[in-house]
Amino acid sequence: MKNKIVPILLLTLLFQAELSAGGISVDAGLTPPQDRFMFRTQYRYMSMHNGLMTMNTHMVPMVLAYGITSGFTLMARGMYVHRADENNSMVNRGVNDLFVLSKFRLLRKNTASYSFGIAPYLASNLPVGSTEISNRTWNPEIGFNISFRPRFFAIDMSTSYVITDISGKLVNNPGNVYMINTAFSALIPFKSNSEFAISPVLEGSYLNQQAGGGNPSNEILFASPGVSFIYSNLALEGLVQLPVYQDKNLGSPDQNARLILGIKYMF
Amino acid sequence: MKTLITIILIAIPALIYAQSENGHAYQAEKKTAQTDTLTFTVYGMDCPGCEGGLEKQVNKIPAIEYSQASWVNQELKIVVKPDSSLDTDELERRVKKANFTLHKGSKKRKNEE
Repeated sequence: MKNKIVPILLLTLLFQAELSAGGISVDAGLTPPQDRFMFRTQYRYMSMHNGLMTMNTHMVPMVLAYGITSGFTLMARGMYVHRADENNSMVNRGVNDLFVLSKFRLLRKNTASYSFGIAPYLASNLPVGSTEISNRTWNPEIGFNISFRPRFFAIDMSTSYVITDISGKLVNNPGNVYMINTAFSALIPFKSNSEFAISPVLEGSYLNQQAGGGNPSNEILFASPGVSFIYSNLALEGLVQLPVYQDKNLGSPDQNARLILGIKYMF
Repeated sequence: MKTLITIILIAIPALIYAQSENGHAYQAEKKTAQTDTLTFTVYGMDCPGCEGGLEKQVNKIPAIEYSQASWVNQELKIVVKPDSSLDTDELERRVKKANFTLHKGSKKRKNEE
């Protein structure tokens, strides 16, 4: 059992940052219209191993965003997590920290041929999650979205920086995290019904976790093909995140392919 | 985990049904409308979900009977209530609140009667 403690600790610490590794299509894009709700839930599966053990994680995040004005959005995310090794000898499950985000519209330009926008955001977890899942630290985040949409195509990007454990509570602080998520997608409307569209997407997610607390740095790049089926205010979405590059520092776990299935509803 | 999956599996068909009912309600309303229809060009809609966000804002204008947006055609069709007039400045404000842009001078009028 003892020889498993270090690997599981490392996998647990890395897990907090890994949750943020994109999918599907740069969460909520820019600010939604005023008085508009967006609800999204997903099933996420991720797996990583480091030679001694494999950790499988199933997650069900639920996101609610609301446009207080057309230029200011609040978002909250709760998440149920079930995490276990391959033999189910170590199982953690529970509700993770609540994540809250406020987003501001800095720029929005709409023309006949394209729309373009920039929206910075501030976010943080609220350390209220189950102790089995959360390390109960504050991890504030700053970032921004950029969106360029030439009619039936979309190029979205989000970049952010997470300060892990800002109060210095953890002995093994896994280090701050820098992330870039990009998405290239097309929207193909069905001619007979413009409320119905299919949207193939290719996402790229880069995550760089700096070294900290004796833990090595960790760097990973995902390429993620996916598709959304959109009917009016409802969207069904699926994405596979394929690790195409991983930094192999001592103790860094290998990431396996991940799966995301989701549903989004706006009202 | 099983409970959550069950909830999601029930929620998906329920939401699709709700969308379908909304569409039927609109069709029924359209048939009985006997008023002027105004069509505007609106920039910035890039998906079917944008239509609902725009309609929600525009329908708050008291003079509007109902509205229908098209992200494909970049259009907003509005039916004005009988004996009411549309304040285009108010319309422009509402379109802006939906994060879109009303193309000025794009209004077309069509009498349905």
